[in-house]
Amino acid sequence: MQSTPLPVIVEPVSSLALCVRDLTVGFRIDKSYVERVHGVSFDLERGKTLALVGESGSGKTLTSMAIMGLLGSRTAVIGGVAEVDGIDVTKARGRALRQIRGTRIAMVYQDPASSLNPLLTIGTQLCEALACHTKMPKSEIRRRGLELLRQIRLPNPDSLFKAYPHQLSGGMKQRVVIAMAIALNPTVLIADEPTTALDVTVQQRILWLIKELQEQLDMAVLFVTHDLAVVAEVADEVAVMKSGEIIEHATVLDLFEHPSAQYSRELLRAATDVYRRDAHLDQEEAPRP
Amino acid sequence: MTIPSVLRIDVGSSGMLSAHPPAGRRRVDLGIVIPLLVIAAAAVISFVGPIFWGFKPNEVDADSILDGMSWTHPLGTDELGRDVLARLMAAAKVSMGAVVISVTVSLVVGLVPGLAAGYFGGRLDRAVTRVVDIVVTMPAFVVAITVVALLGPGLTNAMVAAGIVLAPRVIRVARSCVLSLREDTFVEAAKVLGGTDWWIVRRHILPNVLGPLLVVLSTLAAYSMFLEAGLSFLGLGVQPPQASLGAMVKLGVPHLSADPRLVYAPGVVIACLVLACNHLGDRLSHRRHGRR
Amino acid sequence: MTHTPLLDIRDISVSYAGARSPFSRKAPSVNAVRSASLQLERGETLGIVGESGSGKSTLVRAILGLTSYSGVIEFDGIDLSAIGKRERRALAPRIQMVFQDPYGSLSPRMTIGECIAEPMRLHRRLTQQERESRVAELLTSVGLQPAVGKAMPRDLSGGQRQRVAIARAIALDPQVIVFDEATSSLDVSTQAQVLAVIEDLGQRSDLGSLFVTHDLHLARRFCDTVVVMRAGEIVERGPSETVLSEPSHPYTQELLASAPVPDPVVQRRRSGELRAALHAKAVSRTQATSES
Repeated sequence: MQSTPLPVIVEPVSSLALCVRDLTVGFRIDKSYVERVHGVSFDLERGKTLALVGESGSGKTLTSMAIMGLLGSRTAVIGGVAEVDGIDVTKARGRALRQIRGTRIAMVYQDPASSLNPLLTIGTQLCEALACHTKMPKSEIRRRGLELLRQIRLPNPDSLFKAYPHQLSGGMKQRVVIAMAIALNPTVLIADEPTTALDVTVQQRILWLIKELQEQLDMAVLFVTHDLAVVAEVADEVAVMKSGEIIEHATVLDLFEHPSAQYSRELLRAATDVYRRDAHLDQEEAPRP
Repeated sequence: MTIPSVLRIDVGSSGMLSAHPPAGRRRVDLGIVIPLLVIAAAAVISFVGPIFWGFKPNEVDADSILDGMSWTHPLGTDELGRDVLARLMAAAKVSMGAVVISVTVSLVVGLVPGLAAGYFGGRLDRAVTRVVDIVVTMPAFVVAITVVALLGPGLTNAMVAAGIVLAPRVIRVARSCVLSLREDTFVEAAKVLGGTDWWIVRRHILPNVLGPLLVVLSTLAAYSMFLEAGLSFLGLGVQPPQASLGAMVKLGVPHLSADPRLVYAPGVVIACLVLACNHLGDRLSHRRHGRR
Repeated sequence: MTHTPLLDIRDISVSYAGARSPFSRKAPSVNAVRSASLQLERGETLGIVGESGSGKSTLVRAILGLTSYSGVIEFDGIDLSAIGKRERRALAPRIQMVFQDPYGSLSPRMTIGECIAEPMRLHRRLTQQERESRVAELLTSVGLQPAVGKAMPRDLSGGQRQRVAIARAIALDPQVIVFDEATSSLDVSTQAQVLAVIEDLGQRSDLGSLFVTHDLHLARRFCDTVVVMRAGEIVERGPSETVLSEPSHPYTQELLASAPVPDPVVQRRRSGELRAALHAKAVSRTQATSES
């Protein structure tokens, strides 16, 4: 389905969408910091998807939060840089940070219900982002909002505009959240376990949607997840994290076929364990040893 | 007993975004220790002090009426020549005992209905809530005075009245605790294991209710002290010559302009004890919610 | 004598009042079960698969007696709705459940040992020593050290807690165990460990298990037979091999096609095929409506 591309609101500064170098995040206890993410580095180009894989406690969520500038009061970036379009997000504050968020970098979380204000209609929230960052007149904003709803393939955009979050299903809510995230055509979209709370059929569609939008908008996508099947579906490259470090970074095919790190091998084995010893498995579907 | 780290073989969550210090490091919380010390000091002094103090609280001395502070009488004497310090210690003991009665009565009257209303719901819950709502709308002193009028004046009766006034708060806290616990998985698990209602309430719900209840108790103690002081002030609580802190204030009011000391001495003690109880309850409440 | 299955469930229906919204595609009664029937034999592992809202959890809750239902549930020939509460409780040791939530199913203020010993205290007359040795035995059988018995639930990770929950469920040698999404909340590697424990359990003869899950691959791996639920109804049933590799019902087909596989080449091919199939379906549907 062809739709007019959203207007590019800010000009890209460099070709690399996201450049993370030696990012270190610490957690403050008393007067000193305990490092929770140690010197993480990776590059991400527009139009590509990098999956950040790890189990809970690996530091992947902290890393993504650091890139968004969303660390809590007891955590802080204590080293390294995270550059979006050449601008270091970790040094940005206040107005500059607000500018970057939404226009250059946006995030979608696991629980769509908590990302949406239950007291505001979908339309209001959708237009909020547009109103904040642009000087478009109200009618234009509304038109853009409706177009966004069409872009995320939700039926009846007009009635949806006036609906409240609780009237929507989980999958629909997540689509709305995605629409809000891409409203301003960001360079980088961070998706932190966006489908974990959703059913498998809905999950498939959401992943397709993200892929589609990525192509349309030439976005870079940082996909944070623990689910290797999701990685298999969406990722171009994979970075495996454990205890705050990236222990392996490879293309998705390389990782699944020839994992080099011991931990990666264990992770893959645990994930594919479920399919082994099944006599009637289609030969093609047998996991690689 | 420490659990060896080898048990933590799973890749577990480490709560990275939380603000809690690692388990095992507990800093001494002054906000709890100081009020406890104050209350303990008051208790010790009021119980042990009279043994060492020369004057008796009801010892009348016509020669030393309304004496000021001196070495013999550190807090002076009252209009009957009685040593204020001696009276203060006795009064403090009486007041604290009164608070114990009041809090106990509130627990006895409130805990079971609160638990039952929360656990069983339905008509029982509606009935209990209705009664609580009615009692709570009435001013505390009006209820207390009514009860005392029915039971007769006297410290014990006054404290029973205070307990009844405070019971609704206990009921509400207990009930809301049970309501939230009732839906927890471990309660369902207990049902699946074959636990009777009594077992579930006793082993699973009650221990988790006691925590919040303890917090409320501190506030109840403070309010009890306040109620006791008020009722005694009105003459409905302790009967002379026995004194409580409130009664002492009452007796000292006529002399307020000449000798404010007679009002201040018991007043300061009341204030300290009420503050200590309130602060204790506050800190305990913070610790609980911070813990979660 | 006719053969009685371990569990015989006939025409079970469970309903809740649900609010219907103009934008929801869900049926008005959420998590309802409609006329479901199934049998579980001794030694059989039966998988109940479905998405959220399919009714699978509600169905097993009805079996465990946590929700009311219409229809017949017979356990070893005994009609569960025909017996009184006391007898139902007495049956509890024979039908047990492991819940999805590892963080909520253990009582926070009881030690691990107390949690595991609870069914013993409810149903058996064992001395303290006998209980303690049984607890140690159970802990070892799920791969934990006996010392864990002295720890509190908050000291353990999710996977360890689930193992404790399993130990508790098997404490009195049940005949039926229900695993309600028991590994869904766990990390990938922890999941594998806990599944190994569950598989180990399955070696015991005569134990019937109900394995509720949304993960088709898991069901195929662990279950002998499987039923697929959708919107409260069982839409397909049969040996797991057959149903989950060549399903006949379109819903099962879609479910299987959507279930992702951790293999990029295979997954993307399947994804592409699924997409093409859905597109073709949509096109033919619009053609059909435009033609009519």
